[in-house]
Amino acid sequence: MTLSSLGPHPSLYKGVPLALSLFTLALFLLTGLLSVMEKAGVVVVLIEALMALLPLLVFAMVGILARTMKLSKYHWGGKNVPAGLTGVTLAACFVGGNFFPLFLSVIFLPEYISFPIVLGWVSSLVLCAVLFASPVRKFGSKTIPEFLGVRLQSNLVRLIAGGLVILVGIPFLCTEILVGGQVLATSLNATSTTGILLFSAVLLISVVLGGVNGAVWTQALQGVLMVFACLSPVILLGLDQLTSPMISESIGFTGVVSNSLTEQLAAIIDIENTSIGWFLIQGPYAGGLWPVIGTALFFAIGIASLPHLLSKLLGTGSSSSSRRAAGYSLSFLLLLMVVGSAYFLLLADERLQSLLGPNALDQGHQNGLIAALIRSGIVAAALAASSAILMALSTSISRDLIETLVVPHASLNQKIVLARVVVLLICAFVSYLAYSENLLFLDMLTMSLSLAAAAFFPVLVLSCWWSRFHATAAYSTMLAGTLASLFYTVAVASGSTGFWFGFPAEMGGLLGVLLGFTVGISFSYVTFSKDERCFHLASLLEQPGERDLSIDLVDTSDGEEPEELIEVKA
Amino acid sequence: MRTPNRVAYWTKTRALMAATLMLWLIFFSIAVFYGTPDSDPNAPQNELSGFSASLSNSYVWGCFLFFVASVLISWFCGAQDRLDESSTGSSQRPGNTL
Repeated sequence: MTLSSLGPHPSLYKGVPLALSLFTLALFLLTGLLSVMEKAGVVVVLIEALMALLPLLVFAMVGILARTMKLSKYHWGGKNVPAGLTGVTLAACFVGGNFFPLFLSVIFLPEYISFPIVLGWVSSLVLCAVLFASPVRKFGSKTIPEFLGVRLQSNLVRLIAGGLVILVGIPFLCTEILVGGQVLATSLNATSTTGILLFSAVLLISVVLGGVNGAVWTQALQGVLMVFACLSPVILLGLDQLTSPMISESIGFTGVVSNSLTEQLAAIIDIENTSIGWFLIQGPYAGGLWPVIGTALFFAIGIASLPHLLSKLLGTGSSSSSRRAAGYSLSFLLLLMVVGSAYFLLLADERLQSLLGPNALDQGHQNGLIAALIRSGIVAAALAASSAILMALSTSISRDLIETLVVPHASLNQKIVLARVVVLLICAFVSYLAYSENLLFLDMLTMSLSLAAAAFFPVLVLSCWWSRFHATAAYSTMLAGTLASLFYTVAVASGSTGFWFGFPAEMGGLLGVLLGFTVGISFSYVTFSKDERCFHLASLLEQPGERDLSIDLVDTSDGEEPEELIEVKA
Repeated sequence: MRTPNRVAYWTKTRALMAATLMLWLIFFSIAVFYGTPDSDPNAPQNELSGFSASLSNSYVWGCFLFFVASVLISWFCGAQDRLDESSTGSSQRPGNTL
């Protein structure tokens, strides 16, 4: 076992266990205090607002405390994030505001409609760990486009991949901001505009000063808050059991699960009115096995190739610790999933309802402490995912596009200012989009997953596992896949073609993946140039992990940028 | 730099990946097969009517898949790490030749 934590440079993240336990303790005290207040008859609005705002305040403060002026910390968190911490933050980003409500209500949606989504969602982490976690880390790159550019020795590949990251990331970020903002607005009894603005403000504060460093810290706290929100019924019941033991006969599940929260979550998801719901229930193959397999595969491939999740694996100490991080995050998800699925059954407990006072779970109203807790869990999940996407987008834009094309010789200070300006601009732009558009978010999510699958999955698999793959084949693969899925979307939406394999317009990504693999493999057998550099570099993948290329961890902010071991020799 | 163990390492890595993916695919298909809803879409759901009755429902299978996948991944990670160490155990860190 490699001791990645015993590197020559002290880890920046030594204090994380302490911080996480303090945060848990604080949450525990806050919940206890609020439940006492609720029992004493304090107005529900105040309780909900406190529950929603206090964690946000903590996130903003942590973001400010984690501020940095070092480019290496800003862009990739110091390159020595411990495997366990990466696992927790990866799981928190992986869940996100989109999937948190989904698996909470997994057994209450009609016809188990969310089952294939949850299955594919989990499987994507398996794919990610087995296929990508270790090879992607071996080149010591900071972003996925940079990895592709270095592996295939081509700046063009890097630029195209950078553009595709933006194409994939912006709709995804919009959905996260939309979900987070709307849920926050419900907690505060405000309009959704206020919610979105407040959400974006917290997001901006937590990443603009600290970059990835701040994002890692806040994401760890958000992961804790998510688990806490799922566990809150258990905690409250346990407290009650400790203080006033009751005869166990009176404990039991009521037959009817409280509808209010379920309905609220179902309204957030509204899965039956989306294209996935259509594919599963009303599509040409509905009722058979194909829609289930197709949906699960679609989500598995789409989520496994999301650049912001993969770039979390780039921040670990070595390639074996990035593999381990994927394993840790799977265990964390196991905890979240098991606890989260039992959530509504626990809520139906009569004792819990009597414990929380008259307002706890009124039929038809979504108020009370428990509802506020789960909502702040959703907001935390959305914040975690959106900070990861925001950082992936800004790193990609500032490093892969602007620094490669426009200012290749900028100083370190210029680079960090540039990175901050890009974060600000993206956040403003996406908040504007989220504010002005009123879309079904799951459709937008499906669309961006479809683009991610078509653009990145074939190219990543081939460049990680096949040494023959070269640059021309790489950009043909990416462009063919993306254009195919876009073309399918337009063609189906305009009615000029039928549903291939029953896929709705937004799910053309699987066809793009097929086309991408075909194009990539066939082009790889054609040699367009005599350039052997990428063959030489591919042999790096075949070396054992100790020889990872990594950047020297010493950051010399006032001197030269630490020299990278590999540069694209264009 | 070409180490003597390079070919063996690469072959083992790919074999390990293929084996893990194969196992995962088997579990995936089992979960899809047993986790799909019954053909009657209007059947009422009965979440807590005994363990055996609920065994075929998606939640239990989802958790099972999770569990198996976690074991699988830990195995893969452990095997990969052992592979790394045994291949480079005695070698000195060579200079970068790129």
